[in-house]
Amino acid sequence: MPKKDVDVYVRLRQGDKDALELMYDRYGKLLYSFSYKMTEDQQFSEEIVQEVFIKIWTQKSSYDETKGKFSSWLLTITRNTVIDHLRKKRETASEIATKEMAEDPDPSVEDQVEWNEKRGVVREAIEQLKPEQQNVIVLFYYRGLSQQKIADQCDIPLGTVKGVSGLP
Amino acid sequence: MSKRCDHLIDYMNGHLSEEEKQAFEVHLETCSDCQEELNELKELTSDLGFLSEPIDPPPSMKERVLSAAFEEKAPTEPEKVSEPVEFKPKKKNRWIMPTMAAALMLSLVGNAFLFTELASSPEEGEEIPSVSIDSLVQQLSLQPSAEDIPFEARASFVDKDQHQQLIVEADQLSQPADTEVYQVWLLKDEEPYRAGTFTPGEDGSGMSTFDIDPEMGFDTIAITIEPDETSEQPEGEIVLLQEL
Repeated sequence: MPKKDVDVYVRLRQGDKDALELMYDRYGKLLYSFSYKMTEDQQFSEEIVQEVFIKIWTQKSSYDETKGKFSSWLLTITRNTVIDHLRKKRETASEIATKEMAEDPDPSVEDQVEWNEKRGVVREAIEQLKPEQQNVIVLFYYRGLSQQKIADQCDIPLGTVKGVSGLP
Repeated sequence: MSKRCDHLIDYMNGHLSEEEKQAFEVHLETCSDCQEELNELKELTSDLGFLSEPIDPPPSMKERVLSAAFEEKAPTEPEKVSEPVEFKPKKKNRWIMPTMAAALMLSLVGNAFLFTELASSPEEGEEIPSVSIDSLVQQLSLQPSAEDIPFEARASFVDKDQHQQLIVEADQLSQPADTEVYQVWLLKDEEPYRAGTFTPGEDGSGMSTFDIDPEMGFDTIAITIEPDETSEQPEGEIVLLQEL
């Protein structure tokens, strides 16, 4: 299934509306869920997904193989879109309470196979981290906070943020 | 490491003023530390979105999203437009990726290991075990042999300590049938030598590495689709061909 992403994308690039619809069927839920994880706001999440789909339809963001895996690229576009919006309403961003990594929800949900598998692997990987490291990832990656805010919220020295987030 | 390097996280998360952002981008052009860190962070985090708990969007959302998109100008086949630098690797560093890919194993299991390792030993200036220094000898993009072949590939020749390594990376590969494989060949005076075999991953990208003898003086590189991995001579369709 994912191996066809590139084919679908090629059709999409040629203006095939069905291809965009297919892309939505394939990734709409993932991008929505990811946006929601970052923003915890359903309305906001829909706006994000809409903007992402406009970006890919109009080729404002265009994919090529130097950008890695298609699904990862979509997630990156989505994250950048969220980050962009958050910048615009910065003041509210810091008020969103930090949540723990959520428990595994209802496993019966019909997801894409890839997503499910990935989630398991990522979860396993994340669970190997210390809680404070997990927290840094939430604050850095999902919340998109500044280095200063991450340091404040985690009560760690500023210089350590990069180290904990996985940078040397 | 300059003071500027501290802006990396805030740059990624959009916390810099327009002025700071521009200054950082200028800095990024020349700071290999930051380029590498940015790429590394991107690699490390590229799958984190999959951790999101599934939430059903409102059923009517699909209609709204699609019609909003369709109201915009329909795409046209784009020329390759270069986008503003986001987190993508700089072109000239492309050859770093295979090395890094190996290091990161492109898997989150590997990532977790790295997270843990780096987190538990953030001290700077740690001794790195002795390494051999690879140097890029030549890199070229390979042209498809026909226009209707969409995929792209790059070949890099890297000097190792004792030998040379050929790294071929390809994208947008179609899935070969059954036992078929992609075979890389190096040619000298039209005499082909096997130089790596691979099958594409689910996303259509593939990579092979092969140790070669630089003394051979190969003049051409080619990729074919072979019935299986045992072909001693090219039998299948030539998909890419390029003079060295």
